Amino acid sequence: MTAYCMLLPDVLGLLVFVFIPIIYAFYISLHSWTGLSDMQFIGFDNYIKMTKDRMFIKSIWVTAKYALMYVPGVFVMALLMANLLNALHGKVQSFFRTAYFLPYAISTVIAGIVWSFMYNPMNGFLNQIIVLAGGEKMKFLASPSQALPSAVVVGIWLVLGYNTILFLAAIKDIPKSYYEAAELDGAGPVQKFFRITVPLIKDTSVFVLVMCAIASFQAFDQIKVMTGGGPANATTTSVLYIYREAFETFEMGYSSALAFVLFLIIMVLTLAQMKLLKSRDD
Amino acid sequence: MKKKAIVSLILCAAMVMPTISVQAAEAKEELKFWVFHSDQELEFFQECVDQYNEEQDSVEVVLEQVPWDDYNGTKMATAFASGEGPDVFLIAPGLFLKYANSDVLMPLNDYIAPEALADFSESSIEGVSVDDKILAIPFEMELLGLYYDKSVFAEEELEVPTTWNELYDAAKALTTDSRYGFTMETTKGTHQLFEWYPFLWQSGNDVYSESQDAAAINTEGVLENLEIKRKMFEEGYANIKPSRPNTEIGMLCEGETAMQLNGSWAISQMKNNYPDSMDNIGVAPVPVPEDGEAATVAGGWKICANANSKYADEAAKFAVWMFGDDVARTEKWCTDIKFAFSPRQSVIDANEELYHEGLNGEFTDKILGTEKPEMRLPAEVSTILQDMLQSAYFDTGISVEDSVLIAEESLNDFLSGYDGAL
Amino acid sequence: MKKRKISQGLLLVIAVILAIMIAFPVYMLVISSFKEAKDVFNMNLFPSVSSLTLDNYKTVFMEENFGGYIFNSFFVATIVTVVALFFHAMSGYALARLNFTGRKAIFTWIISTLMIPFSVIMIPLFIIIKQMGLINNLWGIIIPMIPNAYGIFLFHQFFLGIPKELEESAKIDGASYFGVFVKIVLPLSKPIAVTLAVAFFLANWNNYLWPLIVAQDRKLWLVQIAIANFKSSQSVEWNLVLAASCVSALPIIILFFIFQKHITEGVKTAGIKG
Repeated sequence: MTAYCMLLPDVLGLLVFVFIPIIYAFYISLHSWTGLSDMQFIGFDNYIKMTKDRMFIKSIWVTAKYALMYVPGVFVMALLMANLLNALHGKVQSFFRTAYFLPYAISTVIAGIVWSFMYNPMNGFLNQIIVLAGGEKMKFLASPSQALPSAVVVGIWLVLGYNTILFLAAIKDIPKSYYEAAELDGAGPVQKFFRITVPLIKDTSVFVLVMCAIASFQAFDQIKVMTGGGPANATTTSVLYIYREAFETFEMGYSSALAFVLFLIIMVLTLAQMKLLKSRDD
Repeated sequence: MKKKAIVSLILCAAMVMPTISVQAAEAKEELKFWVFHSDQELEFFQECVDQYNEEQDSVEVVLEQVPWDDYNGTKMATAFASGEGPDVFLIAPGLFLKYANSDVLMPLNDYIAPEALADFSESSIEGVSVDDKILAIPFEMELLGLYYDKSVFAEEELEVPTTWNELYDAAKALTTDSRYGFTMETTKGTHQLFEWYPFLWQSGNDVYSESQDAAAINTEGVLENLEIKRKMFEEGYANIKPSRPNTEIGMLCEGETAMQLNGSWAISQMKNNYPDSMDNIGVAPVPVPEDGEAATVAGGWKICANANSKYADEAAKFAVWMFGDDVARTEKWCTDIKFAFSPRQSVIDANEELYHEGLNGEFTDKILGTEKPEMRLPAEVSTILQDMLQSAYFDTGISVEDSVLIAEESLNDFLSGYDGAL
Repeated sequence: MKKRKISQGLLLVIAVILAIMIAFPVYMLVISSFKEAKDVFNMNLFPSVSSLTLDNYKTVFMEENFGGYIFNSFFVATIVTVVALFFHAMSGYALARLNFTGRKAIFTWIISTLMIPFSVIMIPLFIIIKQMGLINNLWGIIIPMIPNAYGIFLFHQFFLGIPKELEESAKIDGASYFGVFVKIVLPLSKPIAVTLAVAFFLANWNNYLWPLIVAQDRKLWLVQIAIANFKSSQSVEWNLVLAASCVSALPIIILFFIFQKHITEGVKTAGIKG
């Protein structure tokens, strides 16, 4: 009983402000609708249409590539940085914590603008460095092959500090005595990391992995600012494509249908991910 | 103790807050008019609204400002989809057909006086009409031209290019380590399409065939133009990643590029932000193919009234009052608030001097008269063409021919199932 | 001992290099925000002090009602954060600790709400807010932002890691579930609560799209809307966008600096664990 009462405010809120809208979006997906006039019921036509939609299929591919770079990137780097911070002490640690956290305070839109400065093929900072080191200028966001990895870097940069803090909090929670015991057994730093740290921060790891995966499937803001999905749609992620269908083409019904399929894909992947991470433990 | 203080502070704020939410005064019918302008442009609209509110007693027009980025898209779409659309708003050709085909635009024929109507250029009214119903009123006309850096051309002893091949040669000659020869829009979108229209028309082509039931883009002229541009991007003579949207003349004034495709709006921009560059920047007609005919594109916003509004009649009256009646407001907008050409001949006639000074004169004498209105394409067609430009310019994995071929197929596919207005 | 010192030194070097790489774009933002409009794009990383100016900041603050937008943002972000934290801690606790039918199903359902992009539910959500009469009202911005599966999930994971023994001893003393939650669990969850508070405050502080949709009157704009408004159809006042963004990032950084100690001090449960 207590449990239900404690869940009530959130469940009610999610029901009204997220779930009902989702159901309504599903209802819209069964219609042809510009948002400007009345809806026309067309059954599952929107879902049939997308099987032939080259652009949507390409966008899923782009999203998958983004996720495959972004999730491990954030996870590994945040974990390593958290360990690094943990090894530093007192004021020094708190200084670097703040330094690493800085990007998180910047809105994604502004991050997109600033990184466009960094990536500018003519005189951006990165090319200045490359030229100094005797290299050939790169095109970064202007190249169909480099644009997506460049966008991933910005995505990682934005959330790295925050996830580092999450890991750091979990690591701090591990009793020191564990490490001391391991040292007595002659374990080196690497062994301590894999035998003690990694297993004991599992709950946080699951959280970071699952949330990063979900976030990577919804990558949008900084990409819209930096490349607008280009060049030649090389960075058009599914969410960007869905957004365009809704608010540039005004195909509300079709974009809702796309979103639903994306929703199912993320759902299946997330549940599989959570299952996998759980079963490892047992 | 601290916690209690915070909680009580929030509670107090919570009680005050609802009064901060804005309650409409219910005395008069209220017309919402949404614009995306700021500074002196917003002031202009506010002055007009104030004047209108004073002049008549039946409605109160309320001006609401929406940031530009989301005016057309999210804000308008969400508002209309939930029945909260503005009563009077501004529209660009890119979305015109979506609104027109959904019967959201109030026909204004009965509200415009014949004398006023006669003042508008024929093509400008055609661009906003469907089946003889006038659905919006154009109030400005922006032309596209080729801006260039005079001193750079003088240094290299080059002539300003007039043909596509000369454009390529000039771009090549003017490119250095820290400067591109030529800059145009690279981001996918309606603006990139806008900048492509002149090149399409100059070689005598169009998007549809004359009977409007098939695509007409797979032609030599289109291919030749796309090939030249791809070459310029590939070889590094065209700016592959402009530092900002190509509507900004700053890139030319600051030396990022030697030539830039840009609109007549850039003249006011320069006056405000780069007064020192005024003498050094020139403008010429958009280069044409060998033996091609001069053509440029005319863009600009239109004002329209929401047919589903509770006060559609009053909304139409206000929209027409704004820009379809007394020419004074159109004139002030185009000649005083900003610099733009006008779809109304009387504005140009009455401001002979302004339209002939400096760069304005270059536009008036050499470019005005060759323009066609920006195409009002269905959103689907627009997307197909935008994708075509992107892959033709940047996707080296596919040839220009194939990019055009794919677009042609998609376009024919779309046209065979479409029965709205074109 | 000597080995320790060397490795500490090495770690410090790595930390410094990382910090420079990570903070560099931020430096770029800050330095550019002091440049004159015509210099913003010259990409000069170390401009002379004389070429820098405070005018951008002055202009931003002179922008009509900029202080008001900051207040609105602050109000929205604070209310959402405080209310959301309390609700989510409750939900997370119930899901992690209490046994009741449908727990798993409810948990999965909650997680699933994370997976649909916001732009898709925006129109239905707007219709709901309209039904509630909250259009053009700050509450219309605040209320839908409170329920959020991210917070519930994080609290849930956190409570899974806390030893049960702590609560059980309290239960023996006859405290109710809710009593245990308020007296024992809530104080324990300070680190995670502070971490989440930073995230929530930031997300709402930087929120743009939803506030833009709900607010119609300029008076109800939040700071990000005001920043977006420095862009017009044909030109952007980049120097002002950058300066205003620095102004808006500052409170978050200060907030983090103040609270970061709590985030990482860890839960003092070492004695009982294991």
